[in-house]
Amino acid sequence: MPTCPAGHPSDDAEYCETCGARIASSSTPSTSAPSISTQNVFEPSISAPSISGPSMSATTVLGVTSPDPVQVCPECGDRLTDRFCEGCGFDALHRQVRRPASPVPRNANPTPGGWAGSTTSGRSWTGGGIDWIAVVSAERAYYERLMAETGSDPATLPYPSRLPERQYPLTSQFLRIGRRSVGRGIQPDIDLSLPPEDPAVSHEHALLLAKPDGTWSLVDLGATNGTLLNDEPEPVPAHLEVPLQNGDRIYVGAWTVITLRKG
Amino acid sequence: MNAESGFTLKVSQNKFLVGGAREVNAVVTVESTGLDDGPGQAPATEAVEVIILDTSASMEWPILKIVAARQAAMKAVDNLRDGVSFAVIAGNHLASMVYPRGEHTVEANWSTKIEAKAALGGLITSGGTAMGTWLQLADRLFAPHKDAIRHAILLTDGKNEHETPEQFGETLAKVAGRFVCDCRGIGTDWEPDELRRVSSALLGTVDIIPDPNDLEADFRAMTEHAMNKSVADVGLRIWRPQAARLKFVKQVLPTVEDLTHLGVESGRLIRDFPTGSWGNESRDYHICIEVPPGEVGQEMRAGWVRLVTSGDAPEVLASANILAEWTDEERFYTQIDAQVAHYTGQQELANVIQAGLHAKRAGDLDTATTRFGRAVALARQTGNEATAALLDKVVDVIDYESGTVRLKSMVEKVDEMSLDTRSTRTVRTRKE
Repeated sequence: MPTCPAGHPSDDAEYCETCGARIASSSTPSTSAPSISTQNVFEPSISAPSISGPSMSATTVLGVTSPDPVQVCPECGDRLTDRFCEGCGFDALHRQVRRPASPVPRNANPTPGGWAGSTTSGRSWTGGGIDWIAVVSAERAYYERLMAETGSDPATLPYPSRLPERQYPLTSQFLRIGRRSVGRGIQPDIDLSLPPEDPAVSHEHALLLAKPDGTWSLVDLGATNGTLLNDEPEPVPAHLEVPLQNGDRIYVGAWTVITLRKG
Repeated sequence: MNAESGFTLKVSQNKFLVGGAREVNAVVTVESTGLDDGPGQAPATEAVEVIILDTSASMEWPILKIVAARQAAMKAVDNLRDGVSFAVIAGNHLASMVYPRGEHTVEANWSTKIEAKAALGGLITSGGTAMGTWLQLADRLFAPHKDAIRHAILLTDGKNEHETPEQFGETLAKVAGRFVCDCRGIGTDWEPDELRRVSSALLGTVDIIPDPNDLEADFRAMTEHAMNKSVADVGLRIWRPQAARLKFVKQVLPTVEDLTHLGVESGRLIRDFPTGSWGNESRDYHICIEVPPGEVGQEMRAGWVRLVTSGDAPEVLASANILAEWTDEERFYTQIDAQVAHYTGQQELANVIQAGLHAKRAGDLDTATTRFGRAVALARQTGNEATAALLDKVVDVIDYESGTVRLKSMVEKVDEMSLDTRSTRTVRTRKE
């Protein structure tokens, strides 16, 4: 009778009938079995203690496990399962390492076009030594001006009680600004559906584009509520590139401000 | 897959998990084709149909209600295939036989159909409403027909007022899964939650018939649908690994129905979930299993799904695996399976509509607005146009994309109840 890696005897020769572990180990690695090249992969463990947890050492033999090391958000105490805390939106990555020693490729392995409709083919890191960072936060003055101008009731769309700053290193050719949509397969790089979700941001709101000369520009993707730049009263024209400079403030949604910083 | 059985079972999932992750999600599509394809060939399986009519005093006014109910039931009787066993029950605070007189079913033929229709013509209304007693009588009528396709139609117009919710719950727990019951509410004085409890326990549908004149067509459709079933009591048999937990099992197409609590442990690490009877059709199920976290490179069977017949010697109609494999390659584990994503959206849609309706009834209009707004956005994203149309009657949409809505100041009760009863209906993904 075949025996599984955990030592259960099993009538089923392919998968253990007790713990489900694969028994037929001799088979060729499935085509999709990832070949792992760690030197290119960004290891979150250098920053936060294994937030995404691939290097769990606690796991022993399948079926006989010690409990996961639970990550706790230092801000609000919620369980941390990802880079951003689900409770308060705390950015665990940048809290731990404010400035990566070397520019960090966000995605060394280009994602295949899995997210329907997204264009990820041109994704590669271009930051030739210049560190641009997009800082996402909230601005009350903008929010109040918007509420007054549109005659909206602040009670229906209250200003978030807290919005911790999030930093995104600009390390690919473009970054998508928007709100995640599972149904439509939209996964923006700067995802404003993270708590506190800014509902006035369109799913595909705007793009940050890297220019060959090392600068960046902004493209509004025809967002419902438009995109404002700095103190300009009128939204930027849709679908047109607007050059950006160090310190520029991009206003989207009801309260979100994205500030560009260089170096 | 077992082509001979006429059933196929397909699993759609992304088996890759990030190291340490535990939750495995899969959408299982069960399809039956080629059942009784022979022209004019009557299904070999025995079928029993029980029609349950509410005859409480409230059915008397407007007078059209009982008249329409009688006529609809007559049409349903006309539609019965000769040879099918049937009975008609009248329900108020008690349940009584309309046809035949005794507590049993009779075979449908030219003369029994005429007798049944005559008995229906003499129905009078009186008394209160205790649906549990109706279902118990139906259950007794079905009892001698263990291997048959057992289907009931329940028509009511009012609330279940003459038994306690506990009594009602006990009855439902007792009869759950014993027969399939499609429920219809006529008018707007009944409780969608109550009928939903019946249809959920009895694997049937629930719908509102706002206009008594539409009853006839609906009854005809229901009986025709029931007559087309040819395999009774099919079960989803799910094996899970030791130390794993079956988090939920839900039907997600054609409607959202949580089957988790209907599961019965039927062997070591095995649980059976009833799915009722089948004709030529296709249904989708969302299965979620929590497995012990694995290490990168490990591969396992997280679930083994089999479709089985009932009885002492269950026959396996089809089977498929739900797998798990841990990887640290982001491009594998970050993909969400399109089917899983789609039905997650559909379930959320059904949930936020219920949340919105409850908030509205409780007077919490802000919450209701937010929930309905989310529902509008989800209905649009997932292409559920039928639900979007129902929502349009309850809210004014300002922006579909972001789900910005305003509650309509005047909402017809029938529109709100239609949204309530029909919001669990789902659609397939647009692209297969």
